[in-house]
Amino acid sequence: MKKDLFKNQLERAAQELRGRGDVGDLRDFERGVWAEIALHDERWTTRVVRFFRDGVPTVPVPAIAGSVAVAVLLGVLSAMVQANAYGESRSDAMEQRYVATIHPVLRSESGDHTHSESP
Amino acid sequence: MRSIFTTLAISLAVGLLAFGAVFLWQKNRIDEHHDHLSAFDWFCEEFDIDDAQRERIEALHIAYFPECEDHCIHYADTKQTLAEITADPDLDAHPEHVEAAEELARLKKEADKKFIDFIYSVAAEMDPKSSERYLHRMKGWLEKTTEIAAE
Repeated sequence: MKKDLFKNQLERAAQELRGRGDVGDLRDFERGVWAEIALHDERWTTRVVRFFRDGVPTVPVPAIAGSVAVAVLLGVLSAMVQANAYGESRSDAMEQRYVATIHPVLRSESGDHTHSESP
Repeated sequence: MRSIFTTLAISLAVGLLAFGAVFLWQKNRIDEHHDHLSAFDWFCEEFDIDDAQRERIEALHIAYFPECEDHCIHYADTKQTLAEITADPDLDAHPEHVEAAEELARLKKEADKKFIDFIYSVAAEMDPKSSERYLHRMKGWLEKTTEIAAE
């Protein structure tokens, strides 16, 4: 019963298409069918690319501005923390230099036995 | 309207740019400051030494330097002698070897004593808070110099 219905529908559709005689319409129809087939037959890589191209959610402009502002803030804060650590390492090196001027063992290790650096 | 990935990429790029710019600016500032700083200048800055204290402490350093220098030369010579004796297999367990090792240990102790005496004399010229901090930091070096001497 169902098969008959499908056959009837198909025949009617085919007659309708033949009856139109409009080549342009037929081409559009074909293109539509092929597009559908391609959509179901495409590779996963193509699907992923299409997802990123068309399916990714969009963000409104104020949210973009907010995101950029947060990134700038985080960038500045982490730079300050890093710079602070760098400053401490420079200060530690200076401390070692200072101790080398007043402790004979450290001074002898530095290879310079004279106090060329004035206080 | 932009895709969420474009937004993240833009934010990441701008964040990295901000990090790089601020870090380089701060690093240059720190380098410039430290490049023109002597060890004694660093000490004065680190321990909040005022001008009057600076003058007195500077005099202490200048008076101590010749003694420190002599000791340093003596220590370096003894260490060199000990290294030469250690490298010579004929002098293994030789009295000279033991003597040089004992002499080096004695000089190390003496150096520590001189160092402690000196830092206390300097600390006496400083404000109580700074002096405590100074002594704490300097005493930390005693352990490090012992490690260095043992190498």
